Amino acid sequence: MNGIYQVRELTASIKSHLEGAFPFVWVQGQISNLSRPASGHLYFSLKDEEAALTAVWFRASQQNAEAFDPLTGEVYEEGPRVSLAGKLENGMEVICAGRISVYAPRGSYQLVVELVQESGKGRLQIEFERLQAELASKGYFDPLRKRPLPQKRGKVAVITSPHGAAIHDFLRICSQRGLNGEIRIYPVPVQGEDAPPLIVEALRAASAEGWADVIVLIRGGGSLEDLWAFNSRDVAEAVFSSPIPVLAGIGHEVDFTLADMTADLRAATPTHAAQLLWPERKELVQRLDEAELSVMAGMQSMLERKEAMLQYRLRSLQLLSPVHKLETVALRVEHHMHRVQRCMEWWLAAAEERLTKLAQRLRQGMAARLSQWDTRLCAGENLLRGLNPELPLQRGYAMVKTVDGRLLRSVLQAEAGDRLVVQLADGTLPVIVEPPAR
Amino acid sequence: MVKKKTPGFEASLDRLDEIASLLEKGELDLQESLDLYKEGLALAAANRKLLEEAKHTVKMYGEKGLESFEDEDGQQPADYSGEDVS
Repeated sequence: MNGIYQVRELTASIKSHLEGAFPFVWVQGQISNLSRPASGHLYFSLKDEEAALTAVWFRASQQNAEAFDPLTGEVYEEGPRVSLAGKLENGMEVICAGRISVYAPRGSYQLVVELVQESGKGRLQIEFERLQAELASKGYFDPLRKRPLPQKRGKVAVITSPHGAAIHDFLRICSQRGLNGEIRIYPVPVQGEDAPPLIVEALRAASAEGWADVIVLIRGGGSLEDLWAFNSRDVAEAVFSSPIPVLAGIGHEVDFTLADMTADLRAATPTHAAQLLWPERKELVQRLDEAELSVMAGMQSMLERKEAMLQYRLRSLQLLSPVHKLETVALRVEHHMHRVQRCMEWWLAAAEERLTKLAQRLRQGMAARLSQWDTRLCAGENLLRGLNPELPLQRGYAMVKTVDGRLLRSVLQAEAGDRLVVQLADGTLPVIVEPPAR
Repeated sequence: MVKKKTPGFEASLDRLDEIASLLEKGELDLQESLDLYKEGLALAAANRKLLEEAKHTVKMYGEKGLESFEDEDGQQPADYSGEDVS
């Protein structure tokens, strides 16, 4: 869909929406533009002050005679009535039932009528409107006056006929709703002349008893005449003055009676009254489930939080524990020991290197000095060897010493007759000094 | 059928809500929380039973005062279509 409709597409969409929304509908209005072609179908418009609706009543849906009321299913005791189809005329007020149909070729919509019921103002209608206006002026229908149904509504007084569809439908729906309620039925006739005083009596009895949390006033569908008991002033007054809140479900959706307009809460039908009264049990189960789940979730989150707190404390405790402190200290000690050890190793290495260098220098210096000394020693030795006093002996010189070893340097040191020793290179000669030859 | 031991359905739901929020706040100690939790589960179970067994009592004012009332056309409505399995 690119946003631009073809006419047929838009019309088809409208058709499916409209026809889906109104598969069956009740419409009240005045007949106008009535035409009766030979086909037997009836064409007319329904209108009120502000709007008009095209309608068609096909021949197949028209019945010549009706053995029962098409709205309520009530069998006509006086025998079949002639269908309205033959009596329709412009200006007539009717209620039509049918479905909305869209006629695509003309782009128009219309009501395809299945049933028609006259709704013209009869005596009862006029009476109803008069009483309605009067009660309205007394504030009977004032929304501000109406009380909500009490929160606690387990005890229910039901005023209705013990026979018939209303109580049956009501109880059937109730059986799927609420929780251990108590229902007390105040049996009353719901139509006929006796009905209004007995309904009033039942309302007063229920109020006087004071047992009920809510009073439920119900009746099945019927014609305006059938429902008339609920349009009586006395019944409306009794509803109005009831100290216990009143829930009324009278007739069908389209029916309004003075009793249910006065009631604190109006239900469209008896079935609807049961629905308004108590919540569906499935819904109660669901609410219970949700409440239980939230308790479980609460527990879960509580546990998670407690666990997180526990973990946190545990960690804190571990940080504070002496063992942890010792471990920390040990770690530091180890760290420092490492450093010391590394320093030591470094220092030793440096010292060793220095020592090695020094030793090398020492060795080199010593070697140099030694060789120097060696040279000097050789020179000295040579010198010394040259100075050896015995060396000239080998060249033929002799030394003369006294016997006690003193060296003679002058002839004056010897006298004749002295014994002397002459030392030659290869030995000594003992000699005696002769007297000088003069 | 008056329920004595449980505080009534609405009050029970209120209590369950209260328990849930107490637990969520997490200000209670573990034992208190556990007790509350047990109370909540028991309350839920009791109410579930209540819901399963729920039955209204229906009485009618007759000539002799309150009498038990049996729906006339009884178990099945006139237009009963038969799809009700229970």
